[in-house]
Amino acid sequence: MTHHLKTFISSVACALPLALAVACNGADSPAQPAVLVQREALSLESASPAREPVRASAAEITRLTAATAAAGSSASGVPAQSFEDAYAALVNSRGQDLALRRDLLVAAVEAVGTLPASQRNAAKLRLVDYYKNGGGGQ
Amino acid sequence: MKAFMLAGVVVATVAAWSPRAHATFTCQIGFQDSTGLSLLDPGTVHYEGEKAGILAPSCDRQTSKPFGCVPGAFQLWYYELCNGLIWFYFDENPGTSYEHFHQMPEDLTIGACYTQDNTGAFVFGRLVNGTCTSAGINPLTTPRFISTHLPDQFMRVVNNSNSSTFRPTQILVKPGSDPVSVSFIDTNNTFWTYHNLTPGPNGTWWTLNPTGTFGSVIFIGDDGGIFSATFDNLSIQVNQ
Repeated sequence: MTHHLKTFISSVACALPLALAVACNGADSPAQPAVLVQREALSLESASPAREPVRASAAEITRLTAATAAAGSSASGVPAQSFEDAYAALVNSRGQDLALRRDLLVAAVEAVGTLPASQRNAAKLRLVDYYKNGGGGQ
Repeated sequence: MKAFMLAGVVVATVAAWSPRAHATFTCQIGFQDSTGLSLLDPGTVHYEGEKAGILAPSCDRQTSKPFGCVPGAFQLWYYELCNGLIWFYFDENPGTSYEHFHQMPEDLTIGACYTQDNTGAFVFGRLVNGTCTSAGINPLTTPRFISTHLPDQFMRVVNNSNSSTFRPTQILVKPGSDPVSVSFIDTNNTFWTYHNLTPGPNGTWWTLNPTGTFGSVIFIGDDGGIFSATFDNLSIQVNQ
């Protein structure tokens, strides 16, 4: 990760739960060539296990309908540290592949969106500038 | 002749009293309906709508929230046409308020970088010879899949065209996804769930065995994981 991106993230988004995960949990690695991992699914014929439906429990119904309202708005209902840990695990388990690059970019774009409206355009331009030459050594 | 006529009357009577035959058909929702995508914000002030791979309602937005609509504003999420007959509507189960899904391009090279298109809108791009470009990417025709936002968000599916009931029959759980659950409420108000639809290493097509009834709402989301549910190609059987 270049100094430029570090500066961008720390100044723009490091105080935010989602971006903290990007900036502060192990994504800081030397530039590596992207490895395209196999993500596309098998054909329909090659694998089609069946799942039987079950009656949902009361707890599940609650989860799906009403109780999730307790999560409140956006990510605020998720304990920040646990999400950061989870995201760090994702980064560590998947390596520097294209999917990861996109996930990190999405996280950065979301972080920009949580800035005050007056700062967002400038932050996006800085992000564009970071990627102008590949971003991450591509 | 009289007997023949009587037989004809009997046949006509039986036909008239027969229960109405229900036609069923199945369609596959690919989350890439160009009409549905075109209804989203083409370039919202804050988030670039579908161009950034984010599915958010089209609405007047609050400046204080990246996806939040102005209270009372009309919100329009995503529509996809099934078999040319029924518009299914996809939004967030009101139990959470992330106010968006990620509707990511299946082409992994889209989203490797961030740039501006020829209108100045901020968009995902591809790296071509070390340069980030959005040339050749049409956001309205780019194949997509869905990724929910953190473990507690559920996508809700309803039929916005008519009163036909429906049920899920198949779903593709993408590689890297948390286990997925698909639920629906049938016409008897019974809540059914297909649990633990895991992705396997390469993604898995899950067949959802029928319950014998149809319903009016489907929920799709994470099933006890910690990241998100990532899925595509939801097949829905419709009972007209």
